[in-house]
Amino acid sequence: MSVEAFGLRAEIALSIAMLMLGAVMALTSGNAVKRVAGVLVAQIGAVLAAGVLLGGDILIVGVALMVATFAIAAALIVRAQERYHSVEMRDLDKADIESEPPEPSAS
Amino acid sequence: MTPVLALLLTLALPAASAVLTAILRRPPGLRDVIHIGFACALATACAYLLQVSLHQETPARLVLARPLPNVELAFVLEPLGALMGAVLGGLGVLHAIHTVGFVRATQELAPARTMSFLSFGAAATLAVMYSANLFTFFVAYQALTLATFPLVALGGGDEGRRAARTYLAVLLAASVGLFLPAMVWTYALTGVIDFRIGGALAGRVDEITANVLLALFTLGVAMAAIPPVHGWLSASNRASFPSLTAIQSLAVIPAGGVGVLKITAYVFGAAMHDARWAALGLLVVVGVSMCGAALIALSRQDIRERLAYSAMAQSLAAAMGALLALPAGAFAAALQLVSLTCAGATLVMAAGTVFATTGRTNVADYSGLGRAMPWTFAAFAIGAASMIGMPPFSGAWAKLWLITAAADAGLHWAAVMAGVTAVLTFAHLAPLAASALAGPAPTDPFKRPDGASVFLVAPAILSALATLWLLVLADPLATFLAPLWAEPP
Amino acid sequence: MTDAIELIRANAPLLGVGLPLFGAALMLAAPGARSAWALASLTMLATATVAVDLAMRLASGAPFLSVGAGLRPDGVGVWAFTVQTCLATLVAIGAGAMLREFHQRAAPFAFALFLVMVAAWNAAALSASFIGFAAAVETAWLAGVGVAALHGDRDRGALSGALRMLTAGGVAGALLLVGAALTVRGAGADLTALTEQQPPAPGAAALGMGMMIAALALKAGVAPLHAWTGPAFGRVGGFGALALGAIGVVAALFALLRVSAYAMAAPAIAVSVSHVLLTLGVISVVIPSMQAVGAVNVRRLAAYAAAAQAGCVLVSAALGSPAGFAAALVQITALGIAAMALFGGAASLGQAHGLDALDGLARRAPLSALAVTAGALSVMGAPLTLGFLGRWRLIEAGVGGGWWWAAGAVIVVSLAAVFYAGRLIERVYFRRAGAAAVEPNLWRLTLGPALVAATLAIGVGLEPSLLLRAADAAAALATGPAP
Repeated sequence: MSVEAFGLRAEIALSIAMLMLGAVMALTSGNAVKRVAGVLVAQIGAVLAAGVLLGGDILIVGVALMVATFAIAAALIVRAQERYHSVEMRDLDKADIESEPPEPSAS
Repeated sequence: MTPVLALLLTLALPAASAVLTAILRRPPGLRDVIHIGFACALATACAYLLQVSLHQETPARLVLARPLPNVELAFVLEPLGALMGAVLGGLGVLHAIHTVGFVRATQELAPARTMSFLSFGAAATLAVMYSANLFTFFVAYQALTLATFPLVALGGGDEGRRAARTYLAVLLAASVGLFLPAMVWTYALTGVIDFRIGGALAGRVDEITANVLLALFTLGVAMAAIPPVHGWLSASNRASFPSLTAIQSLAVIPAGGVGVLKITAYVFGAAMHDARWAALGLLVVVGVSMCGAALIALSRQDIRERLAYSAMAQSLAAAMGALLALPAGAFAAALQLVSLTCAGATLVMAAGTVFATTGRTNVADYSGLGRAMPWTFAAFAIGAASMIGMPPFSGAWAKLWLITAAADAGLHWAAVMAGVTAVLTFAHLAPLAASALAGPAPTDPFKRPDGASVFLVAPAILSALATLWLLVLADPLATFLAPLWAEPP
Repeated sequence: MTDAIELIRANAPLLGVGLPLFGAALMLAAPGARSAWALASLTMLATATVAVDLAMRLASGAPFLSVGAGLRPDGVGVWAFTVQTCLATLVAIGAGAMLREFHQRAAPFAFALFLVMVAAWNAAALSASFIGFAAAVETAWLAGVGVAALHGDRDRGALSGALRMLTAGGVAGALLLVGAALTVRGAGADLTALTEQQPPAPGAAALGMGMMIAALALKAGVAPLHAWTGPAFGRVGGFGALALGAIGVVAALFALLRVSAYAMAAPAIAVSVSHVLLTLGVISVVIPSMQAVGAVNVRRLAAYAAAAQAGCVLVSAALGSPAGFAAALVQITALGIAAMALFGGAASLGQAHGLDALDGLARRAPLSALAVTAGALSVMGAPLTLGFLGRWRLIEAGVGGGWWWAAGAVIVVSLAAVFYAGRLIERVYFRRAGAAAVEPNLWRLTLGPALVAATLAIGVGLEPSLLLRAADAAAALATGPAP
């Protein structure tokens, strides 16, 4: 394997690792801000991976989507803080459950 | 009138009656006239269809829709359906009159809704009887379940709703979980799902498939009350008496019985030989349950529960006849269904009359009531005699043929079980009728001191008289029903 | 005039995307909620006209267009474009009665986001390239999040739901982007690259397709990736539930089916893709069915029911045969129409979302009850409904392909549906009304579309020959006309 090919694979691996890290953070974190941060990390990883794989145009698409996601996420977090007075997912769940009875889980 | 138009009317008339009684609920007189009038019209259409089927060469066929390629929503005039349709149509008039008398005597809540759902149930039952293929049977069966489940819930409060949920769950789960896969499987094997003389599956299935299909089909028709899918029957026995008459005698149980008979005769036919192991297993279940149900009936003190288990035993006897896969068995099953319909309706209507007049449902309180209500208990006694299988009432012929068929098949134990069931039926019905007629008259006042109206008494008596008609018609019926056990063309 | 019509027809796919986007832009000038609603309805009516015309011309044998602008219609794409545009038109018209769910100033934004969502899903249905497809799906998703979030003014639970949509969808978006890049790298830029040649790097293409399918499955609410559906559907208002349930989920399933059709046409990756679809499908049949049985919220129950139906769609697609794709198209259409009837009927409950809000609905709002009943019966797969038709086609396709157990999957869905849909019907007809009240004056507009959907759910079930023929034709052209 040439150094160039190795470098390419390493870059892809790093990007995918970033994506996975961000995904875990976004899906497991107990804080809404951290979740959004996780989404952004995952998307940065995805954009980097896509850029490495294809280069050029896809970077523009990826960055545009990332910015849009961030803008909506920021607005949502601000609104959640205003309405729930918290950005902890546990508090949000608690408040939602209080206004509605829980239901049995599938498991 | 053409046969196809008459077929359409048998479905449309009760549906129209249901809608009209729901809309024109006041004045009560108009509602009652509509309910009885449409029942009379329906009976006429059914009688016409029976008359036509006696002479027709090519069965009349009505296709309402073609919802899938090669699958029609179709109805056909074949002998079993025509016979049961005529019996149910005729008894439907008596039931309609009795219902009117009952709701007037008991000031029942929501009588218009009860009548409306009874009519919907009648439409769906006739759709089952005249169904031309498995798909139409499945659709009509689901419609019957949905139309009768409100009858279980109506007026029962939370307990009624719980019972209705059990009723719905057992019937729908069995049909979707067992019958539907069997139907799809049959379609995949044969490409068609029509009921055919000689059996659609004859010569087209291997033994394993035939056995599995028979088990799925038979248990999928939970309305036949074959254990373990019989829970709906006990859940329904707190419904009002008009509803019970429909469930136990005029709609649900007959639909189950006809379903099992159509499947063994028209879907399996000669293929019943390939499915003999499943048939044998089912016969054991049916035989044991038949005796068990009659025994349980003996232990029940509430007349509704006693009659429910008694009807279950009779329904299982019909299933036994169908599963014997012999001409005599199929004939016995058909006779048993006719007999159950007449006798069952008589018993439940008589018990309903007693309840409407005296407010009594406990069998211990029946002693001596026959002295105050001689006509009603005369009808009750005749119905009981027919259920037991005492000659010359219709049940006797059915039991005789059933025992003969079981013996012909070499299943002597099945013949013995049919005999034991008759003895147990005697034990749970005969003493009750006897004590009612012979015991000292009760001294405590009735709920309605003026006694039962003619609307309540006359239908029970006429229905009881209907149990006699098989005495003269057994032989012509055997010729008429011959396609049930005919060889494939 | 004729030339103008021909020009419009020649650019029908482009108009399917452009018209809703143009309408969304006009929303910024809309002075109030009612004018925004009128504008959105007109825009969607125009788009639906274009879509239906395109579908009818293709059905009558007109050649497929190659319109450039990154769009390339194919059988599944045109079917999806037509169905989702018609459903969106019904939603837009019905939304007139739900204007009070938003602040006066927020309503134009809600309609603008809705139109962007529709435009983007149409773009996904007609897109020629993987990158364009991924961009369209992400745009549609973000617009959907926006629609959900705008309901936060009346019920803060909608904010929580939107947040979950955003995080789950954001991760899925990342997967989709990488998946698209890998597929482009492994096969080529266009969807047709999978079918026209042997992929130069089939491993990369298979991995990329797997990632794309997983991402789309999440957006379609397929189990076990449907964690967002409960919170999102449960608390958004009537408009949000219709937009996300009858349009978002349905369009995402169409998108999933479309890329699957191309992937299954490439022998080098078909088996891997089939396994992914099958695994997701079977899981999605079982888990949501159980969740729906225990659900206590009407819209959440509908979301779980939709996930269970989506499982059947995936199993159909996994078959890879034209019969399987035709079955999937019928099922998605049935799902969209049933969702429309259910959510539209339930819209008369207003802010109430518990199952008890349905108690006695037949007396309080008979037409709503009718719509809910038709939707529930179709979801249940009751005979003579569109839902039954979809399931029967799946069984036929499954048995034809030797997948007997597919019939088992259908039975599982139907059995569970008997319980939860039966519960809905029981509450509607056999319970006394509780404290929940029907929203005043709501019936006039909301119920029109819901009743149309209810009529379709039953009517097409009774006479389905046209639908079945069209589905077969669309499935035969799932990857477009032969080159």
